[in-house]
Amino acid sequence: MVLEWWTNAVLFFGGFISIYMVIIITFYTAILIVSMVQLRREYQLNREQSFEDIADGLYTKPVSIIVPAYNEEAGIIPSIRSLLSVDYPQYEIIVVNDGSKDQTLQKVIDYYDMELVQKVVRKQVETKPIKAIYQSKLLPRLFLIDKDNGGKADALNVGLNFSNYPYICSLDGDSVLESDAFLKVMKPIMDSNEEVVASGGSIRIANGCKIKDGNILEIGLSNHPLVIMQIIEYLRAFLMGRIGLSKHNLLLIISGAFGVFSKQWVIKAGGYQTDTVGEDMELVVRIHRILKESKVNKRIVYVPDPVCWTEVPEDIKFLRRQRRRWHRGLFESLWNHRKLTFNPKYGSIGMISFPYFWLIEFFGPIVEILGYIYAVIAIFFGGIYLEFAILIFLLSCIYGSIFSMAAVLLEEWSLRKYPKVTHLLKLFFFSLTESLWYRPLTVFWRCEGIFQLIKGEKSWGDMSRKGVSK
Amino acid sequence: MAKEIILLVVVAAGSILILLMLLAYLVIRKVLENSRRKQINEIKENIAQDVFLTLQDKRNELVFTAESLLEKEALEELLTKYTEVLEGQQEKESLRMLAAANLTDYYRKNVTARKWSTRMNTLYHIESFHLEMLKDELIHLAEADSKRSKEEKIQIYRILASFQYDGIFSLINKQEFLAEKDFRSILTRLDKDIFASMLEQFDECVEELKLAIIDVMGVRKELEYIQFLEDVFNAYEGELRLRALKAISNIGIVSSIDTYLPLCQSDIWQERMMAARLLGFVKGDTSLLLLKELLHDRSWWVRSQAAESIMKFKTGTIVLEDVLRHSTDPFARDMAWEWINKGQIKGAN
Repeated sequence: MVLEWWTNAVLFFGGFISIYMVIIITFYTAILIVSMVQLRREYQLNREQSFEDIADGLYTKPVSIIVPAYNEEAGIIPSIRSLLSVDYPQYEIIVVNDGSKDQTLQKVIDYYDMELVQKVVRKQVETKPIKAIYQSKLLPRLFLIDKDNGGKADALNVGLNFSNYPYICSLDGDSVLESDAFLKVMKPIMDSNEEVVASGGSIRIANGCKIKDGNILEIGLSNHPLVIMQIIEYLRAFLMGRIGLSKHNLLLIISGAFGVFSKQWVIKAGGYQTDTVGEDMELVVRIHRILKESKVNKRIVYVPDPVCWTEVPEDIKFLRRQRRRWHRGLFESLWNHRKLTFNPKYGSIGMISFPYFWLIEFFGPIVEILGYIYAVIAIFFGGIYLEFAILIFLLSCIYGSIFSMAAVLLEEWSLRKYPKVTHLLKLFFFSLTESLWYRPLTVFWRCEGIFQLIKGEKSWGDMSRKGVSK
Repeated sequence: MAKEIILLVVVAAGSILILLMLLAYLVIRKVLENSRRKQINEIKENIAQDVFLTLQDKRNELVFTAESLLEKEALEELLTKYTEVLEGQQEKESLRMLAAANLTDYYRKNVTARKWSTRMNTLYHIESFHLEMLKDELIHLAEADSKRSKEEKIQIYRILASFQYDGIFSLINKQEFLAEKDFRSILTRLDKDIFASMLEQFDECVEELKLAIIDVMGVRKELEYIQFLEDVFNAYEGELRLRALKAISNIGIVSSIDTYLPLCQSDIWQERMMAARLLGFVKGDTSLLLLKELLHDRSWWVRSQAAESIMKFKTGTIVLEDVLRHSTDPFARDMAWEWINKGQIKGAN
């Protein structure tokens, strides 16, 4: 009797996992096809030329670049240098020192000959107090704001209040922008006659590339297994996921590392929210929500081409913290706006994006962990269950690799690619091993994130950086 | 259960096959692409000298002809690089001739290629090499009611504009897919005469084209447009009127400030801001008095513009210091304070 009940339960659970897998695979395949069609059309398009018209500057929209910096003394100077060589007709750089405990402030002041200036700051969003405002004597469009520590979102809000231009760009203190990235990321905004209110670019991983003075000299592939796995993840997330989602205005994430927003809408949304660890996603969700509530026809898009290079953790300790934090941020954004879920009033955002992020992104790790537990139980049952479990596992390895290689294919169709055949083989080999070690690890970390949520933890955790630029 | 297992085995085998095919495709592609790139680079190295000589040589004689497809692509890449750096008229002309002699037929074929990106690239190159002998083909393409994409059509109009095609007006006016910025990018390519002929048909233009024409006038900064712009300002309402003001302030000539004085009392803050800007061009006590009033406006933009205009006066700093000391309006004082201090760093904003 007990055995029969048990057998049924195992069967039922096996069925549940299979159906879950089928749903995920179907969804990803659909997104992949949309992305492929899109990228294939623009395959080998000479993009430089299509930006010429914007670059001449008569009607470009000026952009304020906000760089929040907290203990970034290692990377801040090269980062600013790469911003100064950006090819864009009108922009200003606002470095916000968020009460750093290291030499970040002094380094910038010394290097760029910053001078105290008097300036009235319109307080459109509440922030922690500003201590001082500096302007570079050498480069008048470079500003430095010193303020009390209040977290990344608060620093971004200070920059938002201070900014002089109608578009703002948030940028991590330790990332390197390609010089034409701005033209490319602004193009949809200008082309759409302001129908596009936010636009995000691709983030690529700088570990393993040769970077000097804020410029990419040579694209390389790191030898570090953790980095290679993250590269595969990023390719999948950006080239496959976001192109597909963006096409149908379903995008809920514009990476905090590089994105441009219409200032007007950010202010309408109330700026960045300071009490979440995922302020970038939260803002996008809030803007979507306001757009739908005020019934205007605006879009948030992702542009595959503009590239921002950033450093990812090579140490398992920091990667673990990052993933736990991301998962908490994901939950906070979804939970704060939970009333959008399956709410037809919010259109496709409520009916497709939210369910997707809840079911696949948020609860995915829990289902996967249950799957691993199921596999362990199946070993004890032996026989047919064991074969079933092994096959499911094998299949998940293969389908994971297919999506990874499809993402590499999409990358080949875009402009930024790994130059050697050995790079491809390396990516292939590691994508095969993903399900054996990396996937279980990240699943476990994300579940830890959920556990932290239940415990009520709020902290960001530090990440020590060594600086991407030589 | 056995059935399911067989199904799973089949699915797994199928997936492995797909995966291997994907890998094979990727690797073969990479090998082919790398070898192609290598060949093109070698050709470029070999012909760079010849091409450079042809461009420099004032005899207009072609030392070099591209035969194969790879040679054409190599030449195209080299010339594209040169178009960005060459300055002299003579060199530009030689570049055009070299491109025309080697690439015209290639482009004539590619302009109707099956792949969208090939067609677009071809159009871009036709413009940057200024291949006028393809003009007829392009006119034909523009007039044919084909299923071309919007991007292609816009690019074709731009090229025809840069060739100073006189039928451009009837081609673009009333094309519903063209936005203001598309019109602008077409108009900026026209020379003075064709542009002037557009002005004669101003009333027949669609709204977006009208706005674009006004904006382009502001950019070209020709004195002779002032009369036209003032007429538009008087005859039209709303956005057009505002743009005309903006264009006038860009040109920076105010024939009689009286025309614009009522704007200081306008309900639309953009109009008050433009008034503040125009007053900056007319030096006189009346202007200064009005600007001081506008410095107390309820809109931040108007106050900021008023302060900027006041700073253009010789006595600007003194006026602002006076406001800072005596005004009861904290917003006006803040603005005055900011603009007084702005002077410290040259070139700011």
